[in-house]
Amino acid sequence: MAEDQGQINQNTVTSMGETGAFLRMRGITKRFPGVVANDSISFDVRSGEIHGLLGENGAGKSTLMKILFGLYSQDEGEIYIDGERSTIDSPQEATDAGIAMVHQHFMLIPRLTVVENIVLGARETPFAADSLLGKLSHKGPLKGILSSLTTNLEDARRKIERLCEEYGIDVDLDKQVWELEVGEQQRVEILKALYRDAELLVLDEPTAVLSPKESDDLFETINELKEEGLAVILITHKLHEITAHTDRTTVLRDGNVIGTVDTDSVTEDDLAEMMVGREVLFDLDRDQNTRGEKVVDVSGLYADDDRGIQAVNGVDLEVHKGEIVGIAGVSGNGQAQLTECLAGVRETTGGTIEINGIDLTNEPPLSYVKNGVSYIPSDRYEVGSSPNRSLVDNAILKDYDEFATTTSFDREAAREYTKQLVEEYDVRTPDIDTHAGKLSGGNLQKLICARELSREPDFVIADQPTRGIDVGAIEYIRSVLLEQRKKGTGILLVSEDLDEVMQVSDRIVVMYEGEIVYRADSDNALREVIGQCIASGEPEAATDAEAEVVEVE
Amino acid sequence: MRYTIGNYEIRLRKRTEQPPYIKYGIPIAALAGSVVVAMVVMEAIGTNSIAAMYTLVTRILSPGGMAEIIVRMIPLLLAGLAVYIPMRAGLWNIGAGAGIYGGGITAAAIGIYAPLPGPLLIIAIILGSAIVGGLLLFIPGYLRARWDINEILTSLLLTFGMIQLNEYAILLMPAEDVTHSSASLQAGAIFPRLPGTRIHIGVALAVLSFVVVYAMMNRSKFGYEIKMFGSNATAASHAGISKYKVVIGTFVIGGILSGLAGGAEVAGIHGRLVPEFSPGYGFTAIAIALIGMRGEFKVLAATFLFAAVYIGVASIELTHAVPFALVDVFEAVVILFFVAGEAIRQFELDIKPVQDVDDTEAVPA
Repeated sequence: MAEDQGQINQNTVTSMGETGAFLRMRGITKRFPGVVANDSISFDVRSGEIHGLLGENGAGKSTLMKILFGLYSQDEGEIYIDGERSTIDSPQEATDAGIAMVHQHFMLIPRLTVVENIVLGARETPFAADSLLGKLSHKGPLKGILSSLTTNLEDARRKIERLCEEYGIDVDLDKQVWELEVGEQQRVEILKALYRDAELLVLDEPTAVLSPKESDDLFETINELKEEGLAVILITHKLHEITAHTDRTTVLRDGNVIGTVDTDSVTEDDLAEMMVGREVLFDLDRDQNTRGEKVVDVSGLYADDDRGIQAVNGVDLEVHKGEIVGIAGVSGNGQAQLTECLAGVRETTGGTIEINGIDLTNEPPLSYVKNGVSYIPSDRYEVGSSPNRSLVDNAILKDYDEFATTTSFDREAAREYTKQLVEEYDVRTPDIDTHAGKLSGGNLQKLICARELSREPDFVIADQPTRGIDVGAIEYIRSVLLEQRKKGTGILLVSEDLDEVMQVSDRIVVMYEGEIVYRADSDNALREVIGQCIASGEPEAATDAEAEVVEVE
Repeated sequence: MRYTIGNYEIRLRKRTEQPPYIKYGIPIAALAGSVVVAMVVMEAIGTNSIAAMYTLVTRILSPGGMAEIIVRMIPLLLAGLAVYIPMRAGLWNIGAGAGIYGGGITAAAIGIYAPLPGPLLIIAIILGSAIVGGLLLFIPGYLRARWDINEILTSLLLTFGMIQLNEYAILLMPAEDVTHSSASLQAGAIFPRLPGTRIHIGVALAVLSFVVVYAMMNRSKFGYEIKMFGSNATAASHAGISKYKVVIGTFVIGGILSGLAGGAEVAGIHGRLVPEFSPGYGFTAIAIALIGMRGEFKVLAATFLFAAVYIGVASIELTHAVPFALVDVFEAVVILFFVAGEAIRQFELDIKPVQDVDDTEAVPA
């Protein structure tokens, strides 16, 4: 800790002398009952730089950004924008000050066109800004009335076209937003910020929803913004994005600034250590494990997605006890539907699913739960838990009939059980009566893992279990999955992170457009071939079978 | 949210904790506010509101008034619970009225036609009205569970249908005289009353139902399933909680309770089938369930409140020439004040003088 303290002071000294910064946050402190979310945080962002903001879930990043956007007010500390002391008390004031944010969940209206979305809430009145009417209608109720009576989209459109050209952003302005790909929608969000003359753009985990190709495009755009002199704050959990794309990085831990570093001078391991406060094991030991009998046998499985379009296209898959089968691929290639079928929550349209030799095809979810299937869904808040119920209610969700009968409910036993899980799986929470939705993503995921793994399942489906959580929690979740494998459970892991799949899986399959296009033991898997299969559904013809074998361990 | 008025800045922020003055003060303030508004309305129509209020409160607190409130609470509590249970599962039961009419028609039919001795006749009425109520509300429950047909529409339409069916049933049944109602039930079918009051054995049914519902919601597997389904239906379904069981189950229980309410009204109060014997109980029940959303005892308290308003206003209708529609005004105001109280319970206002930013001391980093 003494060392950390030194780092903080050192950092403060260096940045105190800094003048050119667009944003300076000084000694920001924010307390919530029982916790100091931001403890005297100082943070600078210069124009023309990409500044990474790193920290575990709960380290204080979101609080700091909410203060910057006027959603929270700080208890102590000042914010300087462009050298001037500012108070920001609402998102509107943040926008006026040139600060914009691209949220993880886009704030777009699907039925409006791109132009309409961009202009929404920032429409101009039909009068020139310097005319008398323009001045009168620039602010206040008159603006509201005038701008809601007119649709002066022509000027707006010209401005947006100019911005697109200037920053090299490619979007079809006349399409309705629902017709756009995720990556395009994100570009609309960025355009929205630029349209409001943003000088500081905050990107909150921008690549969490993007394919690798889309991510590359995004970073190209971000670099363009930087070249044009914008300040960019990049919040991400992906360390390689930090090292590859940022100029400087500030690391937060437990509400404190651990340090601000020039990204060139550090490695991913250094950053991870700063974040977690100890060395992080990215290479987990996956020792040999005996592969047991078959627990899951899927043959010729077909299923539709929610829109009724075929998403799973004749999949054959086996999972044995004591092995992890990893499904690699960009999401949207049928993995979600496949896992839902295997958890019994999606109807199949063809083929069979056998669990432990029992045909459970199209049986209700309860049959799967009772036959030892555990499911860690990718959406923790909407599917994996009930955010408005307590940890206790959530912890017993899969096995509540052990605590409750038609005429009794043993609350005490349920509480005891929850306490045990919370302790064993290191779920950080004020108490077990807290609503599950109040937990950070990583802690909620630990709670869900605790619930699913502690019931001695034969088969676990883990759909993107580490998406959007911090490295400490990622490491933890991977290690509990490996431990579960050792106990003889068969595990199906779906992940977009190829490193993760290669690291923990015994066998790897690649899904592309609803089909399994590649299978290999992970020890023999060719990373390059897998990459090609993920991208195009087949290995490139020219690829030599002797391409370098990637070391997995 | 932030507003500036003169030199003061007003903010609305979410409460992190709820001190006792909020917890207990808000319902009291909401009630007081409703009374004040009702008095203003009375003054506006030329009634001496203070005298009227005095009569109203005296009536409510008198033994006779209390007895009438209890009589009134029987159908309201049963119907309120009938809405409350599906509401905990995230469903809107607008069909308590349908159950009430179904139960009432059944009670009248059994009471008039069944050749049974006294006690058996009463048991048959209780069982019959419960079963018919349950069967009726099985319909919207099943439609919702099986085909996702909006339960609000189906249960509401069912209520309108049952009101008309009640009229038709009266026509089919033997009539006693020229009044538009059925003949009286057999003497043995009338629910026994507490001497000197109109409190009938339906009160035992209501109390028993309340205890059973409380136990079910808090001490049983089904209660847990209902609450989990209501807070996140997807997560609950994935854990194996059956949509059919929860959706149909809560509606059928709601139907049973509202059927009992109807049976008790016909066999306990009217003694015959009359048109529109439920003066909007099914809709008042929605308000009761909404105010009582956070627990069974709150449902009970809200039931008392609405029954007391009804009895109180009824007492001043003649003595102070207040139109009976004041009941509706009063009920509406109560609902508005309690909804507003909920907002105050969740948010706090923070009013402070606007500070010049430079006045604050710089905090050392």
